[in-house]
Amino acid sequence: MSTAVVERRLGLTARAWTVLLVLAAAGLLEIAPRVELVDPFSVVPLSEMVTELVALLGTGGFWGDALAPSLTAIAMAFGLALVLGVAAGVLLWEVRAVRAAVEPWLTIYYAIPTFALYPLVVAVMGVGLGPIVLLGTMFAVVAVVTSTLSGLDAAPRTVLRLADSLQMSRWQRTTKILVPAALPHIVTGARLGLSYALIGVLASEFVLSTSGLGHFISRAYNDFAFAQMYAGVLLVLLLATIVNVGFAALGRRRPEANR
Amino acid sequence: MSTVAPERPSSTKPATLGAGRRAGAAGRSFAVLLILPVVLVLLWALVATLVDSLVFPGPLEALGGTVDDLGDEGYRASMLTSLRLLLVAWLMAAVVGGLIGFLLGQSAFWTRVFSTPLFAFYSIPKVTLYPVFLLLLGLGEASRVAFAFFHGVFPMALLVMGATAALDPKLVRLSAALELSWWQRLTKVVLPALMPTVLLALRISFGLTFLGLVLAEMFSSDTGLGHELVANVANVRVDRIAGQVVLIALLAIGPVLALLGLERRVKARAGIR
Repeated sequence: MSTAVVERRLGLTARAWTVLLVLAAAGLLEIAPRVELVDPFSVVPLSEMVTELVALLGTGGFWGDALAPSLTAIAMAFGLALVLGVAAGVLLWEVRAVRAAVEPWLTIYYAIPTFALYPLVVAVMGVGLGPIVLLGTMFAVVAVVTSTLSGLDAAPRTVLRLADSLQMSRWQRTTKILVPAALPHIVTGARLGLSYALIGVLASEFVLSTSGLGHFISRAYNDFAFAQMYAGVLLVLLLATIVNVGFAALGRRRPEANR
Repeated sequence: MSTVAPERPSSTKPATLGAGRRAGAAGRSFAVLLILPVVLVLLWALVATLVDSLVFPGPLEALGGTVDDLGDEGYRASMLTSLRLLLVAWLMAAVVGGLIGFLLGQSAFWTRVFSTPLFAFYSIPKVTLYPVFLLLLGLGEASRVAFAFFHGVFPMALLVMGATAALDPKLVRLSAALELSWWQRLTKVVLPALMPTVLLALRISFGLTFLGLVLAEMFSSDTGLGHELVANVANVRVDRIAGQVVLIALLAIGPVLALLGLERRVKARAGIR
């Protein structure tokens, strides 16, 4: 290992360059408003965003009105999408005729701005947690369905024959054989699904709602409370990063857990 | 790709047979494509009849709403504005993202450096960043185009970069052995090899650009498809909203199906030759 050659440019490895890039961006975000490279009224220095965010996280009102509703909606949308998505994936995989009709639309789905449905849902159901969770679920569920299908397609035939030879019931076959066999792909789909649930929930709150982090940011913008607005945006980015890093760590741990 | 068969006789017979079969398959797959929408519309009609409520329009009421809308000059102007901004933003995302991806992809090292930041920008929820665009670019069309572009450019750059970096080294050696000029290498070898990925990236980028535009129009705009949707929530014209949602879906599906068809043709051609 000591002789392993790590490629370097200007003495830095690829990872070091990535870190440098991020630090440079953060530095620019701090300095540009201070030296009025950008309008300091429109863009707040990074340190002020962080200070504001820390202050916000210390207030109960922010947790109750913004963070808790968002996290609840995201968790509900993700949970629903996971359960419904895996169930729909297994069902589609079992019934080939239906799959043939549905599968092309799974490819097209994310190219349609599904979010256009949100005003319709609000018009029918009113503003509240329901429409937000519904939109988040709709955003996330197709990623889970697609990954479940590809996971089942990739499952070894012998595993499937095992289910037949053990004369399992349909339910047992699904929970004991099919889902575990597709699990690695489902984890990947779940990661995407959580990102999509996050986007769906925040977008719904941002455009039209009365609570949640998305609503907090849009209200702060309308009230010219830009430091608060940037603190909210920063929190959204942090949440998304935590989700991504968390799932990446989970993905790395899995192979060992299987041994 | 595994169907490449150079030892096949060069007679045109198998090729034309294949083309005929492909056309038949395309027609059939188009018919299969229609099944799900038809079932969904029937379900929609059934539920609407059962609910029988003013705030839950059926497909026919929605169609009526769309006819009303399209007869309205203001709505037509809104739609044309949206389509124009969508086209501009998508083209910008395609050109800028494609070029950045292609240039970074030339080096495996820089591909590694930039893949994490590009993926981060691709996967973060960009919605809540829209006020920043408004603050920097004002309330006009510029902020909407920039926001839509911001949604579409990262998947484009990421996918093209990945494909360029992973270009088959055999192709590179082949063009060296054939002593192709820089320009010939680009147009005869590199670009054709990247074509399937470029088409895929264009398709994904289109969907996200459209999403970004609709979100921007919903949040703050006095025109556009997204604005019309939100405006009708206040008016409780549910039939119009339903019709507009269907219209938006149709506007998105057209280009996507065209790109999918093109993608399939390019892949089939690469497979045969």
